[in-house]
Amino acid sequence: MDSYVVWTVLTCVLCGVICSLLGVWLVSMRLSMLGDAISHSVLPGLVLVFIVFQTRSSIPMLAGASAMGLMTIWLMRLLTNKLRIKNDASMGIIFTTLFALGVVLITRYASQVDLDPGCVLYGSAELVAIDTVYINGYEIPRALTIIVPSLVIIFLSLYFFHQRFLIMAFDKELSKSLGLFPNLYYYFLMGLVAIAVVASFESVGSILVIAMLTGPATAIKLLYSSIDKLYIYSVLFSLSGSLFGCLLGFTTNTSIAGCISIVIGIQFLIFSMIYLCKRHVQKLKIIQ
Amino acid sequence: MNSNTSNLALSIRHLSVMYDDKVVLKNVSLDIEKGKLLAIVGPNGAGKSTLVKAVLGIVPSVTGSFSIFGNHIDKMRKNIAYMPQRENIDWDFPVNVFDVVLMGTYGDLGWFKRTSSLHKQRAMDSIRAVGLEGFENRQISELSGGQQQRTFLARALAQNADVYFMDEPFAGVDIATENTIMSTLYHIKKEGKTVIAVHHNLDTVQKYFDDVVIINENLIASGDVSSVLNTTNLTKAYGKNFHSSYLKSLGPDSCAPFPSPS
Ligand SMILES: Nc1ncnc2c1ncn2[C@@H]1O[C@H](COP(=O)(O)OP(=O)(O)OP(=O)(O)O)[C@@H](O)[C@H]1O
Ligand SMILES: [Mg+2]
Repeated sequence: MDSYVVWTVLTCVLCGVICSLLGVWLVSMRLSMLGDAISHSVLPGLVLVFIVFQTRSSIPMLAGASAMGLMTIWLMRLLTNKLRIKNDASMGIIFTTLFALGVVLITRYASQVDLDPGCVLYGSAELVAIDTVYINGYEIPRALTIIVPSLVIIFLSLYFFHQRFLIMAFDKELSKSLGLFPNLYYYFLMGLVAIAVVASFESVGSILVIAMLTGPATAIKLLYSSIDKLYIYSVLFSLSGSLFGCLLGFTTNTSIAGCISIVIGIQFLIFSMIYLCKRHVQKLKIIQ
Repeated sequence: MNSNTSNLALSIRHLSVMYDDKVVLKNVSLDIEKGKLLAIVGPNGAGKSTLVKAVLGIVPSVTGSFSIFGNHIDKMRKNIAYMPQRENIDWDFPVNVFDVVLMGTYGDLGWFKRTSSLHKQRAMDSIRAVGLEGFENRQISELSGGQQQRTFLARALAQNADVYFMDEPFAGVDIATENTIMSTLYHIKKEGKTVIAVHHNLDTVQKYFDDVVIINENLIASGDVSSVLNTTNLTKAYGKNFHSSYLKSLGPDSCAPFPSPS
């Protein structure tokens, strides 16, 4: 196998891992669409980082993205609480406005911003292995310089703060009465979602990011109901999605991100079939 | 306040709470003695849950101060347990009975510290105390209503607190579970601890509880069940249209204390 294939597959696999881990929380908290919102609304944050700092290096990008992600959540909650409109409505208003702002900024500062709005949606997984940097003499894809640190941050945060996230997500009231600051951890978790989204979407596109955030956890939650199992099986689900998707993409010579999304969709279909069969069998057992 | 405050499990002064522009609790002041089983009663929407949540800092209060054993609540968080009203739980959340009960020990979490085997032991003991052994690995939506209530009771027990706040612990349970819950509450009381429970069934207040607080936006009465739970106070809280077998037996104008259950 040549290094082009290896780097492309590795990038997709790692994006799948970080997105499916955070997807477990979004799906459990019934916030699947939040991944959608954040993946669009971080765009102006990234563009501003480009314009102000003239850089695409990972730390400022992740910082800009998480700041924008947190601002999205904060604005959404503000609209929901102050105007008493529904959560999904405020989400729709905020993320479309911010995304549009990002697109306008890109077109206005096109000469300074090396980012294509089309790429944001569809990703450029095919280009990952070509756009490389040298680190200690090794040539690696630039995408990995942002994906790997994100993976480390997300992994450590989820490990060390597992209980705090769990109690915030399941029972905010108990969390508050124990003095465990559920709001702080809510924003922390959403900051991690923003990091996952930004690390992934330049390579795989925001459509696939949403698929990777919601697809695995939703499918697994049909059959399993514990956070640990959701973690493990969602990661496996996304692994298989990335691998078969890349295979499909390379053999048919089409969009890799698109193929992975399709494979995730097919896998989801299989899981829903299993779920329906299982329920049907249970019903038959009861009738007998 | 006098030097007696430490004998008071909870002391509330001038508590007012608003949601948006609606006043839910108006200038409530109360003292609750240590070692008592206390019921909070009042009609739907009276602000019973709000009272509990305001004390625990779950909802903000407009005015008022509270102390638990004479201390500020922030110093006492490890000494209080909370059992939420069942409507507030997302039953589809991917957690099983053991996960939920273990959350009762999260008050001991330090920065970066995860739960220890000692905490797991405490969770198992609480599960056994409410008779849920064998159900540890059940997802909470696959439990009956009574088992769900007992799960949250076990979680409160695992908190190992001095004051237990419980929002309708008897909601949706059958007589057997009601008895299990009640004997657990008596057990808590025997250890010198205090239980403050929102309670709906007026018929069992006398039988189960020592003290009662009657509220409906304002504090209507508080004190010993036999001296406070009378038609005058209940009519003030519920209006004329409430139904309680005990009260019917008292007749419309009676202010006499309730007859003791045999
Ligand atoms: N989050 C909220 N936002 C706005 N209003 C609220 C909120 N929670 C409660 N209320 C209102 O405050 C009032 C008191 O509510 P609370 O839940 O304290 O009543 P309760 O006595 O516990 O009633 P129930 O017996 O039905 O549990 C009600 O009129 C309710 O509609
Ligand atoms: Mg209530």
